Amino acid sequence: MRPFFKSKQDSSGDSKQNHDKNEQPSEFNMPETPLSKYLDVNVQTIKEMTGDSSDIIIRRLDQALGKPVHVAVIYTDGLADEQIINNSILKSLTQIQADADCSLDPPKQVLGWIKHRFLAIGQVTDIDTMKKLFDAILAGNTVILVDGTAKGISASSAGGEQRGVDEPQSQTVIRGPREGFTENLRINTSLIRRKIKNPNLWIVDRTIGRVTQTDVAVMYIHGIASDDVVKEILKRLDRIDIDSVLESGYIEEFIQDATFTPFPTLTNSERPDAIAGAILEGKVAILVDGSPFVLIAPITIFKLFQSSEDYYQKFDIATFLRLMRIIAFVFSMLLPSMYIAITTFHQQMLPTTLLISLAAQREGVPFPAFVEALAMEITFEVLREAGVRMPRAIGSAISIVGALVLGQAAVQAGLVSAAMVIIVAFTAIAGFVAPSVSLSNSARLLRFGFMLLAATLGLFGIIAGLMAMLIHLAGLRSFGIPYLIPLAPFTTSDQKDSLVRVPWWAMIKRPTLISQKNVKRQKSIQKPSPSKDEQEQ
Amino acid sequence: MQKIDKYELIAMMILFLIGTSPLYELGVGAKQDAWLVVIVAMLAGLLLLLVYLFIQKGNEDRNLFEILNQQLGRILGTIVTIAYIFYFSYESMRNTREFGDIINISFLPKTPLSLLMLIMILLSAYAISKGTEVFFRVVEFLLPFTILGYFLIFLMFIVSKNIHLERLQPVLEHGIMPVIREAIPKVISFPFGEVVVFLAFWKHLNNKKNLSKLSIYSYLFVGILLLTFNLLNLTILSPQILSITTLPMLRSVRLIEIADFLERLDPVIILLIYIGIFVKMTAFYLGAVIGLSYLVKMSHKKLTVIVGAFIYTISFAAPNFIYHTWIGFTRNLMYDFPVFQIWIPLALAAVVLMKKLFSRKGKQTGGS
Amino acid sequence: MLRRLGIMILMLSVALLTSGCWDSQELNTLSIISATSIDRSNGKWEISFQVVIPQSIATQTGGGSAGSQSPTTIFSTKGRSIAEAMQNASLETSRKLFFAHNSVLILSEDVARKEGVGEILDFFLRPFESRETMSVLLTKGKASNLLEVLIPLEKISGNAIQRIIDQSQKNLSQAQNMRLIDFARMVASLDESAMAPELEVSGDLTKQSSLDALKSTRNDAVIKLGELGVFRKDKLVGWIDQKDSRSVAWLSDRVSSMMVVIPCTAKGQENQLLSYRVLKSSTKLEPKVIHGKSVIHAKISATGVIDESGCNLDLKNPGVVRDLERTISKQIGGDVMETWSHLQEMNVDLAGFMNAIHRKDPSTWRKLMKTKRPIEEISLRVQVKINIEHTNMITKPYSSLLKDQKF
Repeated sequence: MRPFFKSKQDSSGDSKQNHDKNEQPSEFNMPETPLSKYLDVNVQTIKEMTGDSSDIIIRRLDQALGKPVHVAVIYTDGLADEQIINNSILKSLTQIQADADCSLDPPKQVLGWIKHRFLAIGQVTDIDTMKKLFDAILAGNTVILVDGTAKGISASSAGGEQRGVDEPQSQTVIRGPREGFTENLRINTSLIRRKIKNPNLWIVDRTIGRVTQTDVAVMYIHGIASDDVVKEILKRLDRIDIDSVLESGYIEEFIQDATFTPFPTLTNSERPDAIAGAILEGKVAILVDGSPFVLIAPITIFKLFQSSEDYYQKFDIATFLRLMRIIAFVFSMLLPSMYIAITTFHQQMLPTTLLISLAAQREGVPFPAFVEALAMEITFEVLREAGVRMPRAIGSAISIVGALVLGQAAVQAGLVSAAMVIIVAFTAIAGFVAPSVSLSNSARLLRFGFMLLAATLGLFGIIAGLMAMLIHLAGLRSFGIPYLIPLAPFTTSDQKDSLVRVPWWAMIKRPTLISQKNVKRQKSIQKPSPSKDEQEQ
Repeated sequence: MQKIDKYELIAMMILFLIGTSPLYELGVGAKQDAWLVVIVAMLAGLLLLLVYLFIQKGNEDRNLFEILNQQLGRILGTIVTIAYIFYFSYESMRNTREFGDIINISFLPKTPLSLLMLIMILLSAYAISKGTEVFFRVVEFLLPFTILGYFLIFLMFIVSKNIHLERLQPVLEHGIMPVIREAIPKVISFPFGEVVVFLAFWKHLNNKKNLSKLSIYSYLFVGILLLTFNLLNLTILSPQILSITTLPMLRSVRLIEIADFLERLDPVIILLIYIGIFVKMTAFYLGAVIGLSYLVKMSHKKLTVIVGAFIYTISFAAPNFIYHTWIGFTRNLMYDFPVFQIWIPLALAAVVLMKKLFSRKGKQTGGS
Repeated sequence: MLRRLGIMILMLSVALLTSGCWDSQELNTLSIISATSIDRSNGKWEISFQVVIPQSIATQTGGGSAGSQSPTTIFSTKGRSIAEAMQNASLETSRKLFFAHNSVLILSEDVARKEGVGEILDFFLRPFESRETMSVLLTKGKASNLLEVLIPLEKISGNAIQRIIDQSQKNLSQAQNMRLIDFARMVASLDESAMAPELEVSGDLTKQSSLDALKSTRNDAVIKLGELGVFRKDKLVGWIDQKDSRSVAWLSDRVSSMMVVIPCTAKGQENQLLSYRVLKSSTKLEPKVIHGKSVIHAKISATGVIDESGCNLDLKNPGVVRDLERTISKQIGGDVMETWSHLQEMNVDLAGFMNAIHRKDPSTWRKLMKTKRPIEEISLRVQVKINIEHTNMITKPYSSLLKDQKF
């Protein structure tokens, strides 16, 4: 993997230089200067460039392999695995006595020996420029320089302190794998590759971020994923010119199809099984080093209502849950506005007894229903945001304040009606049903728009708003795929896994418009049935 | 070139034809025989549809305006094209105004009509500005919900025990003539003859082999749906009450009372009607935009704005709803619309037929 | 594109925010009307509304304690037209009158007889707010009095009245719940006479309209259904009593449950009674022309059970039961014929005979319509078929056990 990665990195470096010619020069660009022949000079340069940072360790040896050559071993403390350096690199250099004669050109030969004969490390590459040197040590590798040659070698030793594979914090499931992505790109790719053991699972690497030099990997199955989509994604990735990428969210905003939409045109997941499933359907995953959230593209709106658990549970309950999620989404978007519309415009729709009990609750409430709803919604949003930020220890205190003080006390004081509290609470809970956070966020934003429409035009406003939303959705595309597939345009075979999920043996085809080639997923006659002997009994 | 597939065409045909029609009692002039009027008009309209399909078949890859110019020559073609642009705009405006007034009567009496119509036109313009394909996709998405909505209402009518089938008797009390007089040309012109606007869209279908079959099936489906709701209104409200009711369907839906909970369902109907209206007015609007784009070279978005502004302006032409419906039902349906729905297409079909015959003859003579 | 969208949104929000919400009305600005009555006084319409006071009805409220306040209050207004009278209500109410939940419309006899119901129906069918499903009722006295009576167990008496009619329709089949839309249809129909049930107060009205009335266990006054008002065109022409209204129910196939009480036939038991409860019934009207005269064949068939028997009959014996069935049939048939002669006298067609003829045989109908009193041209033949399904949990009457007792 490494050499491939390196070459890609080079090409991206070139493209960056091209950018620099016509745009502003960047002081953060690594010098392409070659290494010096003298070790002291090299060491000096490194120290200068890193400001003599304490975590850049430069270990100098006066003798290596039993020959009197000056050698420097350079690595970054914390990124490199000390154990590997001690056991495999330093041990090789200091304890092995090379018996061969090195009369010709000791430094060059020693370097060759180290590389080809004595270094007990799997991945070793040559380096000849300062840029490559820094790339290597900042990736956690160890660089060995020998006095007298303008070349060095980099030995792979990445390691150090890292979070292990843990249960994901978001998108938890009852049934399904317990592992989640970590911040390390390699671990993440390996988590996926462990699930899809197939050479057609291709990874294309890019490095994005002038300063951060973040590794980004694009994963897809060659032969299932649409070539156009892959090409388009790579094109959009190459277009990005930004100083830093700290999370996949940076990239998401650069490559999504439409920015001015409340709906996500690509989604993310923390779950390797969800990503593997998406890749197997012909989608493309974008992994960003440093983030456990992996992007998936292209997506359709119905995909956002699906959880990976749908595929592990029985199809009947999975279908039921999917429909529930859609209903909950609609509730979380429309419930407050429906309440406003019905209680202030269309009172005739309510059954008489309900109307009277609502009217009794509203007696003495000083605000119009719209203001009441708006105030409660904003209160809830504040509580929610506070819940995310605040230290866990006082979380329960806040929930008491939120629930008791703001809810019950406000009702008893006659500031809001009890029904409104119920409405807002249910709306809030319904908002958490969506398996994709980005989707529940869109409902959160749209809710306020619909409330305004409902307060001015009643149900007609809501209907008009929904129609505008539908037109907007029908016009959206995610990497060339219409957003409302498979309902509009209607595709018959995709119905089996959109609003409903049919049993696995019936899902013979992959989503057609995403992976147009290689559509067949499985043999078609696999419906379980009693064997003939059993039937005869 | 924008492409539409067969499901999109079906959805469009169905929702377009449904439009506002279930709201009105078609052929109410024939009293308890109104449902026969629908059947007669539907069959007569089917013949018209065949004429339109014949025109399209003879000119596979052209839309109405291209056909007109091709068959009638430059000058006459341009004149008829302009006439059609006005006709489509007018139809679009009729739907806009109608719904605005329905909302005013039944929902929001004090909200200014101008605002309601503005919102509707803006929504249509938004759909059109995104292109034919997106508009058809929107319609396709709406279809299942609309059909489901009508089906639920149908079920609720049955469950709520409001139906009195005996109100249909006696059948043909005054003979067949009142039925035919009602059907032709009134009910043909609205809603069945309005299919003429599809001549502007059919060329986008990606697989034209199924064109006739799809169109005719969708047409018959809508015919049956309209017939069902026509019958329901008759049996629920009786012909006497129907004859003085502004919006019969709205009234019959308000009679549904199930389990002290499901009552006053008029907002559901308004939603369904809005879907129909939206599809119809946008389709006519789009037809006008396509026609204008044939005449003047301008960007799609500019044309959308121009036609939209025009429709919005003329929607204030009628001083009130009474005048609006009067002119619609007594003048337009009898005299004006048949010109565009029946006479011009018939003439066009005749021209196409003649040309075909002559060219064949020409070929034969040339060959021999 | 984006710019245009922005302008659009801006325009819309400006339009929405500047001119405000035209049609929105908060719940606490409405006075919800549950019943309306129409009277006539001094040549003007007098309309009374029963307005619900939500605080006193809902069990838990923010302010105000339930129970100490009357659940409803009544406004009365006058005007030259009904709409004007309604508008005049604004002179005395602090809130907008809200009609969408009005469930009962009570007309006084005076109004129905002299003014007719045409104008009233027009007024109530016109606005989108009003309900077509409200019940139309008549009363012999002043209609607004009925709104004042508090009904035990119920807080909103408007709804309670509607439920009383529903109950009696379901269990007694004599009064029919006359929805506004059905009433309007019947009034307008060429072939049918309209009818509406009468509501009356029995007892001391003034006491029952005070909240104290609900504190005692026995009511000073009750609201109950009485006779049936009969209309010709849109005017009330007379009343038929409960027995006749039951027969009308038989003829117009509206019987869902009814108690038929017959005296015992056996000697010495003439004072004892037997109760037969109808569970299911159907009536078919078959118009025929016999010797140039229109005849309606009414075929009534009913299935029911014995609910009470004072007669000493061997109800295990099919023969006895068959005799009993015959007796019940005869009684129902006799009642129906008697009612029919009353209807002919009044010249009204409550059972929809003309309708049946019109549907079956339009030419005869046209001939009939040319006569002055078409109802009198029709003769009725009734055929009743009664079936006793079972005798409930005991077979022979309990009194049969007492027959041989010596002390």
